[in-house]
Amino acid sequence: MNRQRPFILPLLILAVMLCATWLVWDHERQNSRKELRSQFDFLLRETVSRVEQRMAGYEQMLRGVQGLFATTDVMDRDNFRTYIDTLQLDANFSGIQAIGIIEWVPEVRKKAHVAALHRLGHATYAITPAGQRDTYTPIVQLEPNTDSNRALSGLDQWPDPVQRLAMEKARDTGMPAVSGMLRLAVDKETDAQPGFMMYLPIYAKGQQHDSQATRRTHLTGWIFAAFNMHNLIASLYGEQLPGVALAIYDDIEPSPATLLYSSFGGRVPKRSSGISANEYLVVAGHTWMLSMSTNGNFDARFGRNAKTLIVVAGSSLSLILALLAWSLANSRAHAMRLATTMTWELHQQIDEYKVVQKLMLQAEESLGESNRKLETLSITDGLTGIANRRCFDEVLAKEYARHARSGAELSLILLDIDHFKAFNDSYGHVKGDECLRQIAQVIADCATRDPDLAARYGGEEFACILPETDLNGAIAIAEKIRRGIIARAIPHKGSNVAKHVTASLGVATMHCAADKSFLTILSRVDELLYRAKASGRNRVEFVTAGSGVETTAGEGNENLVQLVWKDSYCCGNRLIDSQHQSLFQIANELFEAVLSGSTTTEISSIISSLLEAVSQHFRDEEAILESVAFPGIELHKTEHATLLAKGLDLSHLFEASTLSVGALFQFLAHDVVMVHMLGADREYVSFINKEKRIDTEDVISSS
Amino acid sequence: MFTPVITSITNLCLGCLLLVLCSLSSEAADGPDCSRPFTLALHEHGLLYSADTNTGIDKDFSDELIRRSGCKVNVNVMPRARIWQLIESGALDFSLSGITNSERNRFAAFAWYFSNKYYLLVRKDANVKQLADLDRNDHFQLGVIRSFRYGESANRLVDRLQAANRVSQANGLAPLYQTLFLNRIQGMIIEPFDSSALEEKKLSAITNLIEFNDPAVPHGLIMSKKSLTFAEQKKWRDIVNTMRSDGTVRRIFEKYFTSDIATAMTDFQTPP
Repeated sequence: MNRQRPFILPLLILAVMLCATWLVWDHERQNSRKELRSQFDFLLRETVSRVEQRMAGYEQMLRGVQGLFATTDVMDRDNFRTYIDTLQLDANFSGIQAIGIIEWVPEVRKKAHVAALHRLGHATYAITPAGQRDTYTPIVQLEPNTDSNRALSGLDQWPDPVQRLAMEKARDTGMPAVSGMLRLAVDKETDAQPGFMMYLPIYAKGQQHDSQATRRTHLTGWIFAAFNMHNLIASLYGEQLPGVALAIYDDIEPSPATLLYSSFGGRVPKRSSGISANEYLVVAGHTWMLSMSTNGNFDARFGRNAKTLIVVAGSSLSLILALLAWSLANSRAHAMRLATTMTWELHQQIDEYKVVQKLMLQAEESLGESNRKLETLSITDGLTGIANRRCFDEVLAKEYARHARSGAELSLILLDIDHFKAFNDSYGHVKGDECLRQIAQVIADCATRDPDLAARYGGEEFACILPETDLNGAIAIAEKIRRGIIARAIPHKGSNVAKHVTASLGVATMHCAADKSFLTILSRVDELLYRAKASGRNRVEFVTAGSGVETTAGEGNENLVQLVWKDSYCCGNRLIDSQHQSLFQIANELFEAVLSGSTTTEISSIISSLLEAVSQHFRDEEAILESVAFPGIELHKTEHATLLAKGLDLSHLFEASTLSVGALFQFLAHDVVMVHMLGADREYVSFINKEKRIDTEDVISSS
Repeated sequence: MFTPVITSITNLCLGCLLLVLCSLSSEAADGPDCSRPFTLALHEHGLLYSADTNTGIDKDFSDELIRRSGCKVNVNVMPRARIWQLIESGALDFSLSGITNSERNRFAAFAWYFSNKYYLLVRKDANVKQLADLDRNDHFQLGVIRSFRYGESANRLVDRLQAANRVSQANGLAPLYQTLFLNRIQGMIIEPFDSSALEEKKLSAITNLIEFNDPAVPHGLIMSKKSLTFAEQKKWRDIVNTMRSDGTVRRIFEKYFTSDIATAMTDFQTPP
C-alpha cells in the first residue's frame, strides 16, 4: 500500500487533466461541428437561393417574350428576333441553349400552318415527326438563328411526354413550367449533357385567360427556353464548388438516371461521412432535389483545427503535471523513507546506547567493586586481615586531627610479641604467621567499638586506636588483649618470659594539640612499649599522673623526643666522648626540627651535618682504635661503613620525601646510639678503660 | 302640392348623396396611403394557396384586403424563404400567414387573423407514437420547409434534428408529401390547412398525426417594416382587424374548413 501511494496522486491528476482535456476537446469539437454546420447551412441556402434566383430570372425573361406577344402577332418573327437580340444573353446566361416559339396547331389548321411558313420563306418546312395527330406543337422559330437551329423548325414537342406534361401545365396555369430531364435536340454533341425546357404559354391577343378553360381555348402557342443544366450551374459556381459535392436530381429520386448535374465528375457523389443535406426545389412547378455533402476540403476550409492542438497540448500538459506530481510525491516518499530509516537507526542507536550504558554501569559497578576491593586490600594487612600500617597512619592522622578539634582524649595501644624472632626460629614462619593471625584476632576481638581500629603496625608489632577513650578504658582494653593472648596459650619454647606467647603493650592517652602531629602520641606509646619490654615483657606500660612523668604541655615541648647524655656514657676518651655528645646534640636538633615541622632544607642540612659528624667520628674512632691496636677494629670499621651507608640512604630517602620520622628515629636512637655507641663502642671503651660500665636501661627517658 | 314633395325628395337625395360622399372621404382619410403600388407574395402551402388552381385561403384573404385598401397591389408566388428575405430587405411589402419570432420582429410587423396548432405527420412504419419516440429512432428524417418556424417545442425538435443532420428541406409542401410517401423522409410538420392534401396525396392511410404540446400560434399579415411606416402598418392592421371583427375572415375559413374548425382558428386572443 505504501509503495502504491506515490502513484495515486499522479494518476488522479493525470485522469482529471485528461478528463478536462477531453471536455475542452469535446466542447471544441461540438463548436467546430456547429460552426461547420452553420457554414454548410449557409452554403446550402446560398446555393438554393442562387438556383431559384437564376430560374426566376429566366422566368422573367420568358415573361418578357410573353409580354411581347401580348402586344404583337405571334408570327412576327422579326420582332421576336429583335427582342432576343436586345436581351443580349451573354456568358452570364450560358445555360440557355436556345429560345424559341411553338405554335399550337390543331389538325384542321395543319395545312394552313405549313403553307403559311412556306410563304414566310421556309420552303422545306414540315412538321416532324410526320404523321397525322390531333394536335401539333411544332417549333416555328428558334433563336439564335443558326443552321442547326433552323433544322429544328417544325419539330413537334407534343409526342414527347416529358415536354408535353410541362407544356400542358404551362397552358393550364398560365405560369412558367419546367420539364423533366431530357436530352436537348439543340445539343448536337455526342456526350450531350442533361437539360430541361421551360415553357410559358401564349394566349390569343385580347382574349381572357383567367381560368383553365379560357386558357385552353385561347392558347396560341408557347415560348420556350432550352437549358443545359451543367452550363447553368457552372455559370453560377464555375466547375467546382468549394469543399462540397453538389448534385441536382430531376424530381425527388436520386439516381444516375435522374442526375441533372453533379460536381462530382458528372457521377452520383459518393456518400460522405461529413455533413450532407437534401433540399427539394420546386422550380416553375417542377421539383428538383438538390443534394449537397461536404468533403475533407470543406473541413479544412471552414473548420477550426484547434482540436488536435487541444489534444496534444492537453495530453502533454496532463503528462507533465502527472510526472511533476509523481516526482514530488516520490521525493516526499523518499524523504519519508529516509526519515523512517533514520528514525529506526536512531532507535537502534538509542537501544545500543542503552546496552552500552548498561554495560558501562556494570563495568563501573565492577570497577567500583574492584576499587573497593583494592581499597580494602590497600588498607588491609594481607596476613592477619586487620588494618595495615597505611590504614593505621591515615586513621591515626584523621583521629588525631579530629580529637584536636573536639578536645576529647585519644588513646593508642602499641603491642609487640615477646621474642617473636625466637618463635619463628623455633616453629618456623608458617607457625609464626599463624601466631600473628591469632594475636590479630585477639586484638580485633577486644577493640570492638565502631571507631576502634586494630592494625598490624609492622612485623610482630600491632597497634590499636581507641578514639574518645580515656586512659583507664585504654588500659582495660590493653590488659584484656594481653590476657586474651595468654588465654590463647600458643606455645613458645623460645621465650624466657613464659611457656606461651606473650606480648608487651604500651598505652598512651592524650589530649591532641592542633599544632602537633599524630607522631606525638605515636612516639609516646612507642616509648612506653619499649619500657614494657625493658621491664620484663608481658606487661602493659602506661603513664599516669603520679608516675613521675613530666608533662610539659603548658611549656610547648611536652612531647619533644630527645637523646639525653649521661656521664655514665663517657668512655674516658675525651675526643670520643665529646664527639658522642656532639652527635647527641645534632640528633636532638634533628628531632626538634622534624617534630616542629621545619623546612626540608633545614632538616636536610641538619642530616648532612649529622652524617658529616658521624663520618668524622668514625674516622677519629678508627684512628684511636688503630693506635691502641684494638683487636676488633676491622669488624668495627665494617659496622661503621654499614651505618654510614645506611645514613646516606636515609638521607636520600629524606630528599625523596619517602623517609618517615619513625625510620629516622630508629636509625639514630636505635642503630647509632643504642646499638653502636652504647653497644659496640662499649667493647673498645672497656678495652680502653677496663672498668667502666654503662647501664643501657637508663639511656633513654621521656623528658 | 307636388312641389314640396319633389323638394323633399330632392333634399333627401341630396342628403343621401352628401352622406355617401362624407362616408367615402372619411374612409379615404383612414385608409392606407395608396400613392404607390404595393407587392404581396403568396406561397404554395396546402389550403393557403395552390398555384395549380390559383385558389386558397391566402388568395381570398389577399383579394379582400386589396379590395378594402383600395391600393394597387402586385401579387406573385414565391418560396417562403425568398419571401422572408424580401420582406427583410423591403423589396416586398406584404405576405400572408406569417408567424413571428424575435428575429422576424426586427424587420417585420404582423396583423393577426388566425391561429392554429402544429402537428407532426409521421409514417406509421416509423414506429413513432409520441414525440419522445423520435430519440430512439436514429433513422428518422424530418422534412421541413426552409425558413418555416413553428411552436416552441416544434422549433426545438427541428433544431435538434437539423444539428444531427436529420432534416431535409424544401421550398414548398409538395415535395415533402412526395418524399414522405416514398419514405425518404419519415415525418413532416403540418398545419390544419395541410390536412386536406393528405387524402389527395394518398398519405392518410400510411401516416399518423401527433400534436405538439405548444399553444396555438397566431398567424397574420406580414408587413415589411422597411417599406411601411409604423402609421401605415397600423392602417393595414386596422383593415385586418375589421375583417376579423365583421366576420369576413371567419367566412373565408368556412369555405375551407367546417364551421367549428374555422371558428377555432379565427377566434383567438390577439397577442399584444
